[in-house]
Amino acid sequence: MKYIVYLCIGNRYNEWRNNMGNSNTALTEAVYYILLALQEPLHGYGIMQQTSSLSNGRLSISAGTLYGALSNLLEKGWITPYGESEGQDGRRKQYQITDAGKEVLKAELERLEELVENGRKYIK
Amino acid sequence: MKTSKILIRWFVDFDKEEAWLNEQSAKGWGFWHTNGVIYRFKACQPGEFIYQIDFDEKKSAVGEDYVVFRNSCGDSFVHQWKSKIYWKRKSADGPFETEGNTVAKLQLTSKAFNFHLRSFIGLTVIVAIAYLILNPLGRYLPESVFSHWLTDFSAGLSFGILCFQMIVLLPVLTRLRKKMNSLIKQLY
Repeated sequence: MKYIVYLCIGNRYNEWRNNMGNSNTALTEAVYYILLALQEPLHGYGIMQQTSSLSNGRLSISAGTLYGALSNLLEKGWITPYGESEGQDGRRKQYQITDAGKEVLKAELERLEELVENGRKYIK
Repeated sequence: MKTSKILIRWFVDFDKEEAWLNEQSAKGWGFWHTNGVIYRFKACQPGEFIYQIDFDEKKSAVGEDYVVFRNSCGDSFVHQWKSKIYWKRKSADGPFETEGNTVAKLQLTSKAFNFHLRSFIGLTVIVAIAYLILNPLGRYLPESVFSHWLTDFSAGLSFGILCFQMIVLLPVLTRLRKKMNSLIKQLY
């Protein structure tokens, strides 16, 4: 039902999000930093702190944004839940990057390096 | 001195509602409860809290509950009305999000769009029931006060809802869609 209505009225965000998955568009800043942070297993709050410290406090992601981003990344298989959620953390889940996620990170790094290189070369 | 107050407002635009709550907080009134029309406040230090309005996500690949997840990340849950969730945090802890995070704004707008779309669909179903079931039923039933009432009531109900959809919901949906379009343009 929902999708029939989408066809008529159209939620542009969903269209945009679906297109993002299929083509090799650039990662958003938030996604890039989340993937960087998840090279070691972290739970939600840890990711927020890590992204903030990696970017020297420039980028702060709200928990709401993070939740949506994590769910996107899990659907794409770029990250995976880590271990069983037990112990002191109670129900808090931890996440970790997958091999597919690492590939994406490497590809993105190459793309960024190309941008930087060309920028250095051609910006006068 | 008064420690609580009640204000009556009705918002369609969640951006304006959020700005209004923050304004009240700056004046020393911390929001804690609403039923969509009546807003209840408790006295707090002026500017002690900042507020954010958000919409619940039903299905998600993340196994954790949305409210539990956000609470564990340092935002305090204030109140939920339908799938609209109110969050607050101490102003001292900094803003919810870096200003100008377009993707985050886009995501929030999309959630708001879905929220209004759901009410639109729900109301359409009510109109359909009123017009296709109750109205014929009123005509079919033997002549009585009840059958007259049923025909009038269903006609009035569907007309009223259709007016509400046209005057309030459609403009909101169009505006949110335009906002999404302009945010997507900003990304490229």
